[in-house]
Amino acid sequence: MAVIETVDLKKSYHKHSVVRGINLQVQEGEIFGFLGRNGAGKTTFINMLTGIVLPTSGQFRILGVSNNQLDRVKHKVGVLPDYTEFYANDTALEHLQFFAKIQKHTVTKQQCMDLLEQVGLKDAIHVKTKKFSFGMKKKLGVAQAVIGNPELIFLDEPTSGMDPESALEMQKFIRTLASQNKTIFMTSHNLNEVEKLCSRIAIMKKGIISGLGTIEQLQKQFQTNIETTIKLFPKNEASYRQARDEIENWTSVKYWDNHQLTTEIRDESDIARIVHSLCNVDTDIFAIQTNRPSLEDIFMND
Amino acid sequence: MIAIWKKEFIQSFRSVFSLITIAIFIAVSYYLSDFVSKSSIITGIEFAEAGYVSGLVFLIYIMGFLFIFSLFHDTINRETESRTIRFLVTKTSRPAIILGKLLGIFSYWFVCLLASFSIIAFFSHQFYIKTFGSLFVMLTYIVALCVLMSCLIPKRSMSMFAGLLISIAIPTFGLWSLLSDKLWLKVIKYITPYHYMLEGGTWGWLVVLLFAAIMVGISILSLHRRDL
Repeated sequence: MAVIETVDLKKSYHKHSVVRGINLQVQEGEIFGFLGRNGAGKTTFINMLTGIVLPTSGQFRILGVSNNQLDRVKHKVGVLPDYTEFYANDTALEHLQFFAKIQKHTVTKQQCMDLLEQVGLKDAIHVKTKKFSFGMKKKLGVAQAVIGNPELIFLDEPTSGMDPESALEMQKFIRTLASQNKTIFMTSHNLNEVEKLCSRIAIMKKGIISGLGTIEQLQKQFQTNIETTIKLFPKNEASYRQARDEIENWTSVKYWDNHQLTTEIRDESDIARIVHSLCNVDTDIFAIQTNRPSLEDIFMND
Repeated sequence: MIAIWKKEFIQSFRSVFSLITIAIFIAVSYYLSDFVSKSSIITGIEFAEAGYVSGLVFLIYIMGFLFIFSLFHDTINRETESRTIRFLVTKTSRPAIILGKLLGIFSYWFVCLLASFSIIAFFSHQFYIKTFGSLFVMLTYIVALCVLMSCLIPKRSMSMFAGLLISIAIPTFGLWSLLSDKLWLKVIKYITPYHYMLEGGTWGWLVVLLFAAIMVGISILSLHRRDL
């Protein structure tokens, strides 16, 4: 079942188009990553789906409910907006209790305290948020997004501003949420984090989605060649040279010596052909390594 | 809506100025009631009600705009300016935010007025329910206008300035219009609440309530159509 479904969703400010017609489906239980450079339109897109910003045109459905009836499902949706500022004179606990009450969730004080402990705010439960650092505000933002056990959670850069240890703890927490069959829609500038957490990824560029799929699908979509390195030992150097010349006829050999052959191939099935050629000239093969493009490579080359 | 109502109500008591406002209302009620209860033996009981409530009528009719705008001019725009409204709007409907805020402010003034009338009742041995009702209608109008301004003006500093101007302009021109035949003042007469409250007869207060309802409606619409 599609938890999020958008049809030609657009947003313009005056004459400037920020989101230029997005069609997207996010399935139940997914951790969906949304990537893009600053100003690509990610936050505007999330803000439309969460009711903060109104679409210029197009439609969307959240948990089966259309955008003009969004209020009906707000109690099932948790949101961490991009800008997390709180009521300065209220404590972290008071915030959680207040936000839970707005959504008419029955949450005990102990449950709120447990949640604050889970996001790493154990020592700041009774501290007023005006004393919070940016990272602490992010943690409280995540806590308020998941209070009341929502089915769908939007997280706009959940680990930005956090120290590496806290960021890892937060990633663990997000994984725990996903294991409870919650759908998570997140944006992040940390590509490594997205690669580790997300089951599917969309890359947004200038208001449109330029890439969409699993990491493997994106790698296939964006890769031109696979770099393959073979560690070897030729028993007959002359025959090995001949084989290398034959391989070079149909691949691009980048480097070779008597211990290693590095070549670029179009498809992984080509590896078998190279191995076959090398074995025919009595060359021992110790290891084969292929380098697929990382998410960073895809993102940077997009 | 109830959570926002409760929060706004509790928050109303957190500022020093709100406590001073309550203290002014209570002090005026107490000292005036004390004075009237002692002097009504001379002036006669038929003038007693006017005497007892005159202080509160003055405070609300003349100073009401100033009190309410000083305390609540930034009810909505402080949320939009600090962007805390983004948390609210992702959890509840936009009309619920406006109505919750309105009810919170109404509750504050209800408590303030009730405390004042209770003091008067202590001295007069009567609760002047009709005057209480008419003053609360006047407060409703002012609160609705205050929330509307807070929705329409995005910056807190601007709403404070506008509130100050309104606090001077409406009582001045509203009351002046009752005594003048000038055409431009007649227009003001029909858009300010004084004509309906003081010259509107039995049902004049309903027009004031209608004005308040229209202003609440515009507030909801203005927030409904806006990116936050």
